[in-house]
Amino acid sequence: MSDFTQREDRDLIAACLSGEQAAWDALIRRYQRLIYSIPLKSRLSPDDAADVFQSVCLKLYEKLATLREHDKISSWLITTTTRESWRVSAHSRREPQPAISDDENETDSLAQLPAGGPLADEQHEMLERQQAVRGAIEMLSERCRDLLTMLFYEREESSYAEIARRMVMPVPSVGPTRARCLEKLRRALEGKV
Amino acid sequence: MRCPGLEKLIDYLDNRLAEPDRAAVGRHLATGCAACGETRDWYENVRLAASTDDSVAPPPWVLKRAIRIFDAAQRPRLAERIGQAIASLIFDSFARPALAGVRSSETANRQLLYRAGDYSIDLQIAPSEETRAVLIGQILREGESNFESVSGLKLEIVQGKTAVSSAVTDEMGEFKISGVKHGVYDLRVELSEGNITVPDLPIDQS
Repeated sequence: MSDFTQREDRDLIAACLSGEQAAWDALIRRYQRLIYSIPLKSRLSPDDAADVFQSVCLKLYEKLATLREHDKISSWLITTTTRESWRVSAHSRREPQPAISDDENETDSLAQLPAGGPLADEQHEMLERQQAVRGAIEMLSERCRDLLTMLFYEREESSYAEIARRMVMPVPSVGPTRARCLEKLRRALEGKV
Repeated sequence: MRCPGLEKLIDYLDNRLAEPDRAAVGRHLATGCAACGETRDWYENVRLAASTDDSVAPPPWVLKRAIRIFDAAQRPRLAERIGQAIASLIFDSFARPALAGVRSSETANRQLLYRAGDYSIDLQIAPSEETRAVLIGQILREGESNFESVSGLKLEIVQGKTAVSSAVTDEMGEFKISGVKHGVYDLRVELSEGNITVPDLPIDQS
């Protein structure tokens, strides 16, 4: 079976149009964080965010043939998800809202998006850039993925010694390994960041 | 100073570089080296994107529901796929040559397996009286482990235009029709998305 996780968006869409379930699976998994986080950043509840997620994925399925030649799926997804979030938000404001539980308040830590109106160019661009970096790291080897995730996404900065311990490599290897992984990441991100 | 190399440059940008190397790299960048400047800008963009990325993954059920969109859309109603489906015979235990002179109680029962689309119908015809048999069966749907699509289905034994007997599948898609007179029948299964017919089902003592 082909590994669709390594394919570019355009290839994934073509495979979806050919009936490949695994390609659709890979496409949704690639953009799951982007699609789910936008409604949460728009202050929708997790339940409403789940509904937005489903609606956007349905629209994505319906538009596959059109998106095949689209340059930036992420841009289309950001715009579509933002619009769907407004729609749900506007509808919710007309309905009495249940009290939000403490669990739902956890999403308050996400940087907020404005309620209504298109995203500012810089917000849109940052969401695209975040998605591009995340997506490119996912396509690297497991070793590079683990290393760069540790370096870029962990809140606590790790020393070379700690990195070496967790990656099970000699300390002097950390620098060269990081450099190789960054070179691969830069090639994968060419033109996107 | 020549370009410091990617390792040293990244160490500098990450504040991991000790003096005097740190000062040397700083002076080199200040000369306006285009290549190192581009690398610095790229790395800082990537670091900023990653450090401000507070996205969260949806709960597993949300993801699964979205992934199922594709399968549901690709799987049209059975009737649209193959019309009033006629099941195909896949296996007949009586089609295997029996050992000469051997007819044990195990081989007296006839096992038949039919398939229509992604449904399979597993049948066993067991003699009960001289001129009658018991039809035991199970309907399964490929890829389904909870029998949701195959429980509570109505089925009929039909001869010509006459329904001779009927049954309803249990929670595991199983059924039993007793006292079926020897003969050739159609077995019709009524699904939520169409019908399946097992044609020319031989219920006899052979």
